[in-house]
Amino acid sequence: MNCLEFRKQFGADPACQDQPLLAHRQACAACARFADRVQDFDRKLVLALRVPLLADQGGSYQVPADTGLGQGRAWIGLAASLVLGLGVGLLTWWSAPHRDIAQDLLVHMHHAGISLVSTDQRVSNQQLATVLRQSRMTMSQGIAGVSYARSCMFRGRLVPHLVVQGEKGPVTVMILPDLEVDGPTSFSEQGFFGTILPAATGSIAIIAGEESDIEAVSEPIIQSLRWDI
Amino acid sequence: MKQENTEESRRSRFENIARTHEGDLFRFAFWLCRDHSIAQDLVQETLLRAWRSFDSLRDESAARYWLITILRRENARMYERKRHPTQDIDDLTPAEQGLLANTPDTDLADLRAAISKLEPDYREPLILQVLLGFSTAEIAGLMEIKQGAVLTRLYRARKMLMKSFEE
Repeated sequence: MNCLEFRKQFGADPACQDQPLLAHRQACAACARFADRVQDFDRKLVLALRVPLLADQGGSYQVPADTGLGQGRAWIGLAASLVLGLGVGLLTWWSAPHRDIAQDLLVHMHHAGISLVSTDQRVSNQQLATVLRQSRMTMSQGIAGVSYARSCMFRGRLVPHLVVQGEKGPVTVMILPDLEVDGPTSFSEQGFFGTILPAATGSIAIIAGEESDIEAVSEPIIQSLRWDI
Repeated sequence: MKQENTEESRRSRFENIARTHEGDLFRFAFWLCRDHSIAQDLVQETLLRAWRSFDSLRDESAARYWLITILRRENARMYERKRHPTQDIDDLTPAEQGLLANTPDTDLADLRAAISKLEPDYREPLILQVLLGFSTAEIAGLMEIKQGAVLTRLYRARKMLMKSFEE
């Protein structure tokens, strides 16, 4: 890859984790500076595009009480329920005590049964980057041993759910933007060990069958993860 | 009773999805049409249409892509129906100017103005990528253009913005 190709590709997709792109960035100081400049600019772009939601914006949409089709716009008048008032409930739900969070994490983990499977299967860095990007995060480098990466609904939010194959078994990692914790919180329930670590504007929950796997898995993730917002 | 529970569950699942994506939908709609009222109408129409076809959503983790697809179609329909005049950044109402400049950071306000001046063909993929986190393949699918064209537009959009912003 030459410098022109690098700049075109990186300028179009700064979160791209293609190996030739990463290799060129490491080898070429000028292109590395260009990449830093583009990524700095992208952080400003994110802030600029997130125009504030007006006071009458949140929770103003309504689901029709009637499910019948073909009634034209008249059924809009039947609209009832939905979001108004639920915002408060959601906030309460989202900010519930840590013990509840741990229980919810375990429920979600069991529900997505893949979290409990030891496998040689791995997801590509590209796939991982796509999942993270859906929650506006990027990685500065790939994370080894990821066997599952998907955006999941957790407490009404779309969050990255990863499974990393640890030394002693699968380790579940849930990255929780906006769910802030005061400090690291550990728990042990249903035969699993877990920890919830504060990170940027949210937290990272890591759950494993063996306590020793938690630190080994969490370190590279914390090092690599970039919260763009 | 069972039917009521099913309906309740369906409603609850939809409400959850609407609540999760409402902000993103509004912001996307706003940057598409650069008009606060039209953006609100667009989101309302999108969610009503989504509710009516909710059964067609097989994978709820793909809800955002699905909703954005509906919003884009609804925008095209509204545009055809009403032929909204293109809004010039210098002619924005105080409310819209407030939305764009609602920050003490003048750099951010300038950048918002620059984004607003981008041609829609360049602005839209940039919003889909930077604001909503879609991959270039997903953007190509949404915009029904080739991935190469998406990459070109994204590159040019950034180049134009960086040039105008850094000058």
